[in-house]
Amino acid sequence: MDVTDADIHALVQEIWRSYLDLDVDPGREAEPKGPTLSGIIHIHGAWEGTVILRAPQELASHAAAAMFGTEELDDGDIDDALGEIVNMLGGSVKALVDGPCSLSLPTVIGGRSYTLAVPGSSDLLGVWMASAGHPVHVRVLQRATADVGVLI
Amino acid sequence: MKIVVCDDSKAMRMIVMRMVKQTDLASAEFIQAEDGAQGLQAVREHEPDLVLCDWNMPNMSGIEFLEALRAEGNSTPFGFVTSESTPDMRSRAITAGAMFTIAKPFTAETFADVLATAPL
Repeated sequence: MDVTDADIHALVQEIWRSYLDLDVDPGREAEPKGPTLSGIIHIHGAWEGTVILRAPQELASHAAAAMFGTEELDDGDIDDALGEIVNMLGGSVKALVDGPCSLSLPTVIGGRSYTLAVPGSSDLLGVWMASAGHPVHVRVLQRATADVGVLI
Repeated sequence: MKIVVCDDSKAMRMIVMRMVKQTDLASAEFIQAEDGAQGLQAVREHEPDLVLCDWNMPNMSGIEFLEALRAEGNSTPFGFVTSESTPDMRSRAITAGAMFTIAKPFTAETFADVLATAPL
């Protein structure tokens, strides 16, 4: 699949501007200091891979508040919002694939330090961006034949 | 007007309802459903004027919901609001009886334009 850093930035920017009323700019690698949430979605079919969007909990909370239209949210609401964001991003990445594919339901994990393994996958892209002073990291993994653990 | 808003994401249901309120359908009454099975039950119970539905959902997908509805002889106007935006998916939706598809992410303008031109 042909996808570039600029493609990913444009797709994230479209989601950010549509629902979060925020800009997201290309950024440098900047490991978040506090807890983060990661939204994960898999693409199956003509292309096999995974899209992961990781953002600080604080930014995810802000995103959820914008999407729900209220600040009164619980952790489940924030997970729901990030899951929907990665669902839209996964759908947009899937649309770049030639041939039929299906999209999984999203998964959201979070914490201060965690490891995510997608066996058999390797990194195709890793794109750092910045929004409202927070780092945003999107990874696109491509499924290969070898079992390769992936750390985030 | 009654509208069933069917999406497994509560955040997206909130966005869809907010978008509808900015259109000519602002006075609509909403019934929320979290998957196709709930959506099907909601249509049977509430007899809505429109269904706005996601595609990928647990238990029963949006396309399965639409196919089940039409198999019952129910012709309630049905539109997809979905990240499944490929031409194949759109074609499958229309063939199954959908009135329109709105691709996520969408703007308020896109949403309003589609609803304004739909024969509701």
